[in-house]
Amino acid sequence: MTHEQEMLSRAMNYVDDDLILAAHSPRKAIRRILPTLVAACCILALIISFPYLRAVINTNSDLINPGNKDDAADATPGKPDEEIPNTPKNIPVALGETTLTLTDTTETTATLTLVKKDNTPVYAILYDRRHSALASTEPNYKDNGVLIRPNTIRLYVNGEDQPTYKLPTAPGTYEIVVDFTSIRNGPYPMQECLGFYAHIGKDDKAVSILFSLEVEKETVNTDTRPSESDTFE
Amino acid sequence: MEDNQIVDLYWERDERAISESDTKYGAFCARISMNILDNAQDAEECVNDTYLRAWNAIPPDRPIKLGAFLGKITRNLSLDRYKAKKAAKRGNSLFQVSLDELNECIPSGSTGFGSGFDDESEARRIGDCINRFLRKQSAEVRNVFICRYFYSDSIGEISRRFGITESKIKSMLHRARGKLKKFLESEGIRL
Repeated sequence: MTHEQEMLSRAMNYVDDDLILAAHSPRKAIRRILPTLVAACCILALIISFPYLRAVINTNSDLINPGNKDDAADATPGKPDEEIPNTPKNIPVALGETTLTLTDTTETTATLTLVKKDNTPVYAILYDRRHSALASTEPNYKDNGVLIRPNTIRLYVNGEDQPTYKLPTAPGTYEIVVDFTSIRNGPYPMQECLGFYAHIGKDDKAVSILFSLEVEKETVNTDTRPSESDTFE
Repeated sequence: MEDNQIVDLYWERDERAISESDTKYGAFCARISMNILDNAQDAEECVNDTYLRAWNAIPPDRPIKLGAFLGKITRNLSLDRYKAKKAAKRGNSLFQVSLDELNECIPSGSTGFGSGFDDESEARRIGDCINRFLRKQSAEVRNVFICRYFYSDSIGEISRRFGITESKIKSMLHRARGKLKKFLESEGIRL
């Protein structure tokens, strides 16, 4: 324990008693998580009833608009160790007036739409489902004492050719593609069956988008007919 | 029994003060000590020493919030013991992780040799700053910060206590440490 660590640690003993006890009080914790519990129950009810609602919606929408049959309402969940479902695609999550929407995932990328109404910087930290940090736009971010290498998250903003390592600051609407290739080759093991938290923060507030990359599919060539270019002597 | 009633027992030099303190705050103090020392026997000794210190301090003290009073004594005793164990290469690695996180709060220009005050005065000076800093934060950030750096709870325990994901806890603490560093620098604190 260094002198600085000891001083800071002992200084915590001079924090006011009411603050110390408030942090310990479990009743306040329950009050705090109660709205989250209620929201979680509502989401659970929606998820359980979703197949029935979908059947009703599809029956009606087929008559009005054939739609795109390739749409997937939810990414296939991986095997999260917390049984938390993925954030549905195309439904924005709000961080004040800033919103973030997951629009697409592939084997190596995730596409998000970021809508900013002010100049407040927004940071991102990417975790796997076990809450180990994989990449961050925050410099010097450490996870369990291990420094997350800078420039491990590669973002392509509005279709630009060159990647960036920072989220845009100015107000506007941005399509952001997160490329996982560099992370896949980094020191942190990637497991396709696990999903990810994209943790987007501004000041003290943050929201999380949970998603999974598409599992690599084996492709089998079932076409055994000779091609037209084959020539036979 | 209410805190003021237990404190009255201390003032009356009634030994029931110790048993009542243990009944009400024994587990609380044990948690603080275990988080630092990670050894049940050492933690038990620190808690027992806490009651002795409290017996010697009350009177003349008359703490209003007995739990916090006892918790701080336990914490100080545990830190002393941790320091001694660390010197013998037998420290708690999980607690050391939380100590290492505090490195991000060290103001620029710190030399490691202190600012000329004795340790007690220096800790009090920094503590006053931390108090003012914490009162400016949201309740959620403040509680998480105190759970991590006063109670030395693990990230997992804090996550379960407040119903927040571990990833959010980590980034919340990271931001708070950066802000605290800037605040200490603005207050002219150098360690």
